[in-house]
Amino acid sequence: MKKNIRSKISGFLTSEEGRVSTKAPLALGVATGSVLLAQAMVPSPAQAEIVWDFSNVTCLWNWQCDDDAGEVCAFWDFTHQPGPTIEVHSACIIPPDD
Amino acid sequence: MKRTRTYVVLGVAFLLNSSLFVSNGWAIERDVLSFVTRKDRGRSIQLINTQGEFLQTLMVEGPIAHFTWSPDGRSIAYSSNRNGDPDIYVMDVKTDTHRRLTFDDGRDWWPSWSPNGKWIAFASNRAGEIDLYRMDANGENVKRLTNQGDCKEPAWSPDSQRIAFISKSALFVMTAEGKGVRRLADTFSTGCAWSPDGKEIAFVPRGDAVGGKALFSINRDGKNMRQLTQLYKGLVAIFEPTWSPSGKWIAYLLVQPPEKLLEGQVVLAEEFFANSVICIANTADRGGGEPIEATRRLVASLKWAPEGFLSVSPSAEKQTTLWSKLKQSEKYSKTKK
Repeated sequence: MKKNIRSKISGFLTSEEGRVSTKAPLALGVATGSVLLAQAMVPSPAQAEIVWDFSNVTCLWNWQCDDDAGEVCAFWDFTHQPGPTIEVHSACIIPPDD
Repeated sequence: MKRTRTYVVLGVAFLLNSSLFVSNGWAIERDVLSFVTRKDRGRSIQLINTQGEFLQTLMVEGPIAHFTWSPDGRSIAYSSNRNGDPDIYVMDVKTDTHRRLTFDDGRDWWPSWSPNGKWIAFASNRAGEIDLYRMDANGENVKRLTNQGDCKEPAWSPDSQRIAFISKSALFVMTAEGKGVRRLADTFSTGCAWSPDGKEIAFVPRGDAVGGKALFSINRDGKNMRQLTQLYKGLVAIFEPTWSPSGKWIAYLLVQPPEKLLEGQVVLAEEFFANSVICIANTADRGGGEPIEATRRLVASLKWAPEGFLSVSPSAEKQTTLWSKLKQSEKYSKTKK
């Protein structure tokens, strides 16, 4: 069972969705270095009035995912460069074990 | 002559009394909102007034995803995965009985009851892509309405002749038969709602200036975009607009995603929506919009309760309590003004 989940996470990480989400390594238990980089890249709300781009949100709630397979809906910031627009992506993933 | 004058006075008094009765009663629809609660994992629907007082709880065999009221307030259709894949069920509010309407292998979401009571539109991936379907209110005669994929969140026009929906980051409208699909505006999958007069559709527009942070409406012909709410500042976003039956008010979910999202972390849906709260704005002047704090962190799916609900409230005792609280809240809102 655990092997299946790990395999699914591995599949997720190598998928297009997974590749973009590696920008969010903390929650996936990977290195923290790029988090600091991401923090440096993103302007704080105080610096610029942000707006959202939810165009690439494929799920909003867990019920849109496959509960039986243990999937949940996860969000990450996909913003490539500093700017006022926060591009949010989401996908159904199986969360990694704690 | 004197008798005539008496009749006139009595007639005027009667008319005044009638209008007072209407304005004092359930017809003040802005007083009652209904939402699926997050705290019990979507197994109840809460009724609240605009002051945030909890009026009543309807327990359901959840977990519930989206829900929709029948126009007479007697039933609630909802999507639940309690038997595996999400399917559409109907609950009789008075008898607390539940009936399953869809049995296919696909996933069925976003039920939307037509105002004429005949149909329930919903989204399903039963044919692969997520498209919109329509069935009779008893679950029979399922008809596929769209073929373009990624179609969600159907919303019926008040005359039950058209359906607005979200697809591929745009707001669309089509006839109840799935004909004449027309793209109206850029938006997100954050919901849409018809005005009660059928002229406008509320939605959250995309764009550099306002993306996700203000509600707008657009005419069903794609013209006349109009701002309905204030443009919020800071790290907040608007979801799930629902227009009150009078057209004066619009309620929505104001979501404050956690800052760690901007710090590069993956945020699960529970956390993304954790700090969300219901707001109500006056659609005429963009006034209001302050959060109803009692709802913070509680709401998953939001609808105005229909005016007919009180007459089918599950018990006389609850009905009395509900009526009493509504009267109190009305007095409160009058003194507040």
